[in-house]
Amino acid sequence: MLFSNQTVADYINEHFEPTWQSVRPVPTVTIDFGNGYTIQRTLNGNIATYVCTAEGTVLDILPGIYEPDTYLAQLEQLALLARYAERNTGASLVDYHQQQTRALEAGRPLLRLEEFEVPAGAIFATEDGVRIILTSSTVQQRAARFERRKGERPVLPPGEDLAQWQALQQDTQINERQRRLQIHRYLAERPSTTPAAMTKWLYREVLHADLDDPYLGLGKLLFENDPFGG
Amino acid sequence: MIFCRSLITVAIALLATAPVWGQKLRLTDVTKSRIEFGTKQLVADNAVELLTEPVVPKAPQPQDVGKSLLETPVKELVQHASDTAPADVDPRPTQPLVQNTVNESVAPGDVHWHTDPRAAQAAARRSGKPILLFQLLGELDQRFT
Repeated sequence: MLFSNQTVADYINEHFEPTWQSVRPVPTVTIDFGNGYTIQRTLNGNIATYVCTAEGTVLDILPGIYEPDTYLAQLEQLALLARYAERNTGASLVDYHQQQTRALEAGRPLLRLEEFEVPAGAIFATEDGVRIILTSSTVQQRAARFERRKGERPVLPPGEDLAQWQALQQDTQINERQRRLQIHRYLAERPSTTPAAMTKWLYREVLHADLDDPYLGLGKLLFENDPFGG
Repeated sequence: MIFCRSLITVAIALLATAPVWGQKLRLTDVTKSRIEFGTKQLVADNAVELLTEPVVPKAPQPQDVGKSLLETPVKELVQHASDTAPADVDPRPTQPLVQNTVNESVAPGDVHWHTDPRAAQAAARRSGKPILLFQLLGELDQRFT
């Protein structure tokens, strides 16, 4: 669904070298109603989007499922983060995760990376005249909030079921507030980690789908109240 | 003259007592009970044999055993298996209850995916772009992910 969104797909193709990896087969369930009707669906699947350096070091992670606009906005941030980490020393990545952790723990939204043009000759001039800083608010953000207060409503994407879209919105908020806090805490302590080193932790602690559990953490739910269970 | 009188008297007597020749014999209308009595009696005497089904000797049939006799061996077999199973064996099915159904292939969106992370890493070194690694349960190019 996300990658069928043309804007998202185009941005990924332009700014990243994308690849995908299956961590294990997805459990599926088929319900036969006995009258010729059956339904089949997945059970407890989940996803994670890593952004890494060319050497494979994890820069940041978007956990779970996002609605397309927020996913795109965060991908823009992570593309900037790659340039931010490249321009600065390794300590800047630790500082980035620590500042994000403090912001989320205080109940504030995530800090944003902003790109500014720095005139030549200025104190903080850079080689390419661009500076990337981590900030809590920008003129653009304040203007955007003003515009929203003028009565704009988020538009339901065509073809989306309202209930599904609302569930996606809720998932997105949980991802941004709860799950990313766990990730920033983890990465602040392990700035040079790789996807292979942290995948099991991520799925077990953040996405609640323990890859080492044959029932993916669903055993209690499936068997606890089963009168015919063993 | 006397002979004639005697003859007439005899004739009259004969006529009075003799059957009426040439006339149809009229049967006395007896009640149906007199007719039926004999039949009823005959039936009554044979009521048992006639009203019940004739007893036809049947071929020997296997006896209808109760289901417990059939189920008991199966129960015992299961019980025996349960008794001998190691205590630490999870009795829940180890094989998936739902067989792996045909998972049809679908296009993985419009992103130009590298085939594996190493290929993406090599491309990132050349282009200077960061790697985007998308992890999931299942396969991105299959319907159920």
